[in-house]
Amino acid sequence: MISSIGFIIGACIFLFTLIAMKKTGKFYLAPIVTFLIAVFTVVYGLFKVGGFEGMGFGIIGVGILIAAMVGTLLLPFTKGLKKSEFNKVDKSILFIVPVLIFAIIGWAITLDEGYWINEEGVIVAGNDTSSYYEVSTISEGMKQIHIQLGEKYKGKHLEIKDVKTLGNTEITVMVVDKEKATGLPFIKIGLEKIVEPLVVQTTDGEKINSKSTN
Amino acid sequence: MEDSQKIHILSRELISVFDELEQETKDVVLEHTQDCSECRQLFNELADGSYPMLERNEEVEIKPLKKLVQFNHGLKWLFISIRALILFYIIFSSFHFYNWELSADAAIEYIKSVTFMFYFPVAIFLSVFTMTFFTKRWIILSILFDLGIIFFLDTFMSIFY
Repeated sequence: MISSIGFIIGACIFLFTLIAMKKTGKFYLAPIVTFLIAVFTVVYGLFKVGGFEGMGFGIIGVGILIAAMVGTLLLPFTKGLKKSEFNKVDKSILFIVPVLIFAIIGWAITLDEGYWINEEGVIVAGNDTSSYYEVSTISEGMKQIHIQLGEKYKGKHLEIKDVKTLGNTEITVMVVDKEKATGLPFIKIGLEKIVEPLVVQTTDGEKINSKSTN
Repeated sequence: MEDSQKIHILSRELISVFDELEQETKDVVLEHTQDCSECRQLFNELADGSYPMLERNEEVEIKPLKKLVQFNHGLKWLFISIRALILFYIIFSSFHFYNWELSADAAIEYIKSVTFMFYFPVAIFLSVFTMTFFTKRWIILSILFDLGIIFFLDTFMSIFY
């Protein structure tokens, strides 16, 4: 999946460079530029990002590298491409390719919800249980937030409505009615990191406090 | 037409855009000005900062070249402006979205990832256009600048916070 995204990005860069080079006739630069970008992406992943996350950059780099290799193999078949001024089709490609790449980046960003559910369920209702959240550290420094609703939400169901990951972390939960449900709902979600000030709230705007401040 | 005559005609046009030329082309023009008093005078006038007054027929010939120079200057400023705009947005949004006193590390991480996701692709496209329209000097300068930004913008920002 990630390497396919890398390949598409690489193909876009190759096409863009190939068309842009119509002006100078230096078509050989298209695979060279694509190859250099692949190398740069791998180097960036290795030295700037590092770790498990850096490996993702490496896979994208490999995808771009494959596009550069395929482009190099296809280059001899582009004999019809001659040094000339840009025509309407060229101009369209030079406009569409950057838009396409940013669309792919935007799509990849929206694919990542920024959280995952570790556990959800209900606990037996106590006399003085109040709503709270509790943060703990799980594997590789990632965080888990345990959100527990109190007495007044007995018999309800808890769902995650939104997790804001840009800026400070804001978790919005939705409380829904559920037939035959008993007990107090809770949910445990995992996050890569928490950016303070952490806010946990319901869709009605009710703020849920940390267990330690309750 | 003899080769020397052709070089003379080309030199007369190229002297007015001497700074924009590749080193190899500059050498050819300079070599010609050593032997041609007319071109030497033109070159000296240009070097003094006083652009030569051209006769009507010459002006018509040189106009497209000047247009090209103006286009190149405009393009340079456009590329610089796009880079500046993106950098401004990255830094501004990091202050807008993050509380630097509480979570400076997250803000630095944000700058790093946004620089790679948005500045890097823009830098690729602008660099390809730079290869198409500008001299080697500009290509090297823009690539070095972009590499510096992609690798060190977050480090630079962390120095201050």
